[in-house]
Amino acid sequence: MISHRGQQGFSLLEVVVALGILIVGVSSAISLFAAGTAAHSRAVDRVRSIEVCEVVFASLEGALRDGATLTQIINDPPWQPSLVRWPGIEVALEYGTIDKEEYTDLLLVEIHIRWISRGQEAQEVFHQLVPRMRSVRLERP
Amino acid sequence: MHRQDGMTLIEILVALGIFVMLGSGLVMFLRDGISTWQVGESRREAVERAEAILEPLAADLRSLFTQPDPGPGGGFVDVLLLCDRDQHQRPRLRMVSALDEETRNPISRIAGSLTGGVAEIDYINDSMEAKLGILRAPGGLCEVSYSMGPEQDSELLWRGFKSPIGGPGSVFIDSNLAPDEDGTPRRSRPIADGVLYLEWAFWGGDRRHWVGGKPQAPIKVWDSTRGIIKMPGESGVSWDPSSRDEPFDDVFPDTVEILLVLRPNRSKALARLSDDLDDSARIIRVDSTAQYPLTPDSYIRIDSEWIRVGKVGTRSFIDCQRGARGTAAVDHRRGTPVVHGSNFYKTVRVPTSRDPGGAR
Repeated sequence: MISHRGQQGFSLLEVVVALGILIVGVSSAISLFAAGTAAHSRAVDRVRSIEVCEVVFASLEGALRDGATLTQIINDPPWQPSLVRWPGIEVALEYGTIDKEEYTDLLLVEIHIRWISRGQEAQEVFHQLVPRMRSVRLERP
Repeated sequence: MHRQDGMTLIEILVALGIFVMLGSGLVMFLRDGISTWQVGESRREAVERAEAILEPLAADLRSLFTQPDPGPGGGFVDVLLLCDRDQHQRPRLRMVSALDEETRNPISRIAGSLTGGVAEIDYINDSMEAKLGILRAPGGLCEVSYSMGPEQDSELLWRGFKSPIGGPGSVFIDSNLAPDEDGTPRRSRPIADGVLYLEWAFWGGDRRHWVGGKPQAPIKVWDSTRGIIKMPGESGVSWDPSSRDEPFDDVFPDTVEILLVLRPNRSKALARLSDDLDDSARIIRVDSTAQYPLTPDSYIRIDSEWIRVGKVGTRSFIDCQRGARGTAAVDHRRGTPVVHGSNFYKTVRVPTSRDPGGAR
């Protein structure tokens, strides 16, 4: 092969190397996109689980005030009718009790909100202290 | 003429082939990425708009005042919570709240500093009345109202305000919120546009979170006096017109659930009716339902009629319940857009909840 510097084009090897570099660059850009999308969907999921959590804590406190026991609430969750708005969401509840003086005790409630996100199980956990009080309504005839 | 040693045609073709493959893949990825980003961005914008409406509304509900002892108004109960329907059957909320800005707002600071005040803080000429020193003392309470614009298809949400509470200018008297000559509701300021629907649901009193193992559904109207509007029969709340000014049996909710439906972002393409629709059709044909999420509690709006959707098909809405949310079922022309709002829920617990006959 006679070499004429300055008149020669790119060899196939050069083109392939250049393409290789391009692929590395492009794939890193694409992975940035994927990371951005994942971060965004995590943020959306978090906002939704906060909405769910508000509903769960409100119906938990309401049911406790209206005379339900914790076992009853766990076996037959009062928030279940509202959960149809968020298909695919599951809610589990754990609790510990903190004894206080008569009439009132405190519950430490932990709520697990689970859903399937991109084929994987995702979960958010919320904690709250709930004072357990009965409504005066129950003592009226 | 010597031989020029550039690329052969084959080499160029191979290189071009690889480049085109990679390039088209990249463009596809970018397009996907951009559309995902657009969806995410419009959702984020909607969340922020919803938050800006729901947060002040929740703050008003949390500072709800519920001690309806008759004040100086001659035995009338001025402290109420009233969620009824306006003339177009849209929900409307009025309440008495603690005025938390009394010492921060320059107008309410001045109010009441001179005796013999005749005017009230009610979004009408307030700064002039403050300058003249004729505002009455706020007394720590205010009346607040949330209502939709006076026209039936209005998407404007108005917040009405009056302090001190009660008297002939009270926002609990419908005519005090009626539109003035400019067509804007009196004693009110617009706080948001693009509101398709706003609804409140209440637990408390006879509506309970737990009755014999079953949660009760909330009710969509509330009248703390039990004497102004007639609650629906299934609410279990006894209605008695004579109890309007009897403070002892007043009842305030413990939990309020707010549903806000916002008009989706402009960029979102809307489906259009592919046929004329009469007022009793239960199947609605459209050009596409791709943009409509399938949830068990879906509503669509055509013109000003709300329709509850049973099932979403590929090009139709099936098993529809016409004239939902208090609207009337009417005919619609072919090509009319089908609006589907974004739903936002907020659950507010009311710390000052009150059962008849005493505090909890």
